[in-house]
Amino acid sequence: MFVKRGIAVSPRVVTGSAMLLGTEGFRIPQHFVSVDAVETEIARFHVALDTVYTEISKNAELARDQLGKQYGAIFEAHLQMACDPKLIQEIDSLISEHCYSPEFATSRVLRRYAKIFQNLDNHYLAERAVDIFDLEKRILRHLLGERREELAHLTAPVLVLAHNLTPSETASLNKKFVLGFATEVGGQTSHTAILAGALEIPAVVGIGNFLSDVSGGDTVIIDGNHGEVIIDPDQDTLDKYRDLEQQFNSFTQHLQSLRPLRSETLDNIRIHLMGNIEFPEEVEHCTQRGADGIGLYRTEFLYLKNDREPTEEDHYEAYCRVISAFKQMPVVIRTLDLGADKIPGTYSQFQTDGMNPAMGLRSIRLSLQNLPLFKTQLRAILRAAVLGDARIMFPLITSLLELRQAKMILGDVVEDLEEQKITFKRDVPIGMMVEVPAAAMLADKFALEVDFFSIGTNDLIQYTLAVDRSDQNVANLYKSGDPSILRLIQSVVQAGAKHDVPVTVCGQMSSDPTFIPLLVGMGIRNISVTPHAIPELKEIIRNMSIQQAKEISDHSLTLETARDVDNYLRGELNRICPDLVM
Amino acid sequence: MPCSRIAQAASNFSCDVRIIREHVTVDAKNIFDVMSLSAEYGTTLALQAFGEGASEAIQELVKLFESNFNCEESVDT
Repeated sequence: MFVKRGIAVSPRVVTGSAMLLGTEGFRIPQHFVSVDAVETEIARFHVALDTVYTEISKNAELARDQLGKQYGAIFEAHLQMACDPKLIQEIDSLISEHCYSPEFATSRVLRRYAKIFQNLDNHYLAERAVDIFDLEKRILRHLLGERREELAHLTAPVLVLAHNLTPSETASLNKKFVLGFATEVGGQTSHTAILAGALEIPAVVGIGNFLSDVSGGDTVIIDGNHGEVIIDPDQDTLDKYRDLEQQFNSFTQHLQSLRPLRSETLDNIRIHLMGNIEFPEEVEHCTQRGADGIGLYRTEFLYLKNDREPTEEDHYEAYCRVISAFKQMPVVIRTLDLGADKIPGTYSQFQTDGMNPAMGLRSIRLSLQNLPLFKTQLRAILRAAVLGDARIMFPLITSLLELRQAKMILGDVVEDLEEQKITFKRDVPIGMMVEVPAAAMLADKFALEVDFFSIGTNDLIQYTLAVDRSDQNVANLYKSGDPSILRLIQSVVQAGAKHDVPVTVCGQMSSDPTFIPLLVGMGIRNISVTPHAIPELKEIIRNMSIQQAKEISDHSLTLETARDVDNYLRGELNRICPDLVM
Repeated sequence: MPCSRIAQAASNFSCDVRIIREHVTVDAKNIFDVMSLSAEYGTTLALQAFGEGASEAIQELVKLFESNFNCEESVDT
């Protein structure tokens, strides 16, 4: 048994059988064979190995003829590995003496070799590990033949382990069979991480190299609460996690019972708890937990899902599903908030070599430079808005001119729809994300021109503290509780209050229970969070008074460092809700 | 891939062929073993052979080393 640490991005714990994606793309269905079958299994292994040998010889020949002698040599090394007597003997004996299935034995032995090379202090040999994985893949492919299980056609539940998952791979994971996943790279705010949260499957990312330590079919625990992956756990650990899972389930049931209760403080001040969503399917995650609407509907997935630009109908259909699920409650739709670098294919004309994508052409800037794309989205929102209380929100607004330009284009779209006699909703409220420090500082000016603010803490913190959270070298400098952040939020709330513009906080800071008393104390009455956090936050809100929250925020604003703020808030939360701090 | 050339050449003999680097002795017929020596150009290695055709095996391998493994590229391993 061994434990690997990474970044927890989607909570809950799950135990299951590993499926390695990328190196393997399929999993080993069976680890052991019966004693009677050993002979046939060894024979099966040798047939597969012979086939692989022939296959590689052909490749070597082909490479030699078409590319030259030195390229053929690459495959000769593969050949030498495939006929290595010691290797074959090791695999044979694992099958005959330990009743390993040939697949499992092959994977075990080859991965052990790969690991040895990876650990040698020799760059050249470390890269040869790739050759060994390649050989493993070839042999497994022949051994498994038709029984090979691809990610797309899973028939049994697995935990997916991969170097990386692209957003579209993550999005296409079948929740019925993929119980959790863990990746070697990635950070808390990566798209994959956000998608994992959206799918509500436990996930850990940014683990670093660990795939060579695992074979497909190994038992693995993914602890999405603490960011741990436990490979080949012993019985004690398995028992411990089973207990934890039960505890967690009963706590969740308790929180579920809060669903019909209103989210309000002890002195009956209503705090609207809304959900952040990515997919229309997540509407259920919100309604099940008694959300007061959707505070942030991210629309990026529409652009990532296909290789083509989404049509107006693609947008319209998705928005209709969400808006009609919340007839009496707000649904805030944020327009495209992607960097040009993130959008596949179609928008390559906008790709630049900028060294600093966070400050480059992205989000509203991209929309304003690509009007057909922007207008298509706005048309769809206005049309779908007739079904309920939809609102439009522009991301990454930095200057008043930018906001005015975006509103002007919205005005053009309204005119077009009018001319074409298409049904749409006229008075859709317009808001903006406050996530660039410049916008936070000018909030009093912006307040005159928008219907609502939504503070996007992820970007606001990144830009204010100049920290890229996905960069592991500086991620520890990213602090939600930094006094500068508290001041910025406070000034936005005050500007909003003065001009009667409601302020919502979305972003991960508001999903963190410790910050809830602070935000409410500052005057925030709308909070938008990942759906699974709603019941927990409701519990906190129902256990505190506005007076208490105000005292907490007043004191927090006098503190000098993020550490002081964090410690103080944790202590206060513990007093409000002693059961909650787990 | 000098390692594969060494293993290939050694496998042509029925005798035991070993390569020694400092305190580590490995089977020259086993490519994984040879690779794990992590020997780079300039590393001092010793060859050992026991049994039938031992001296021919040594001669053959020495020739291989001296020919720079029959290839133009420099030797890394």
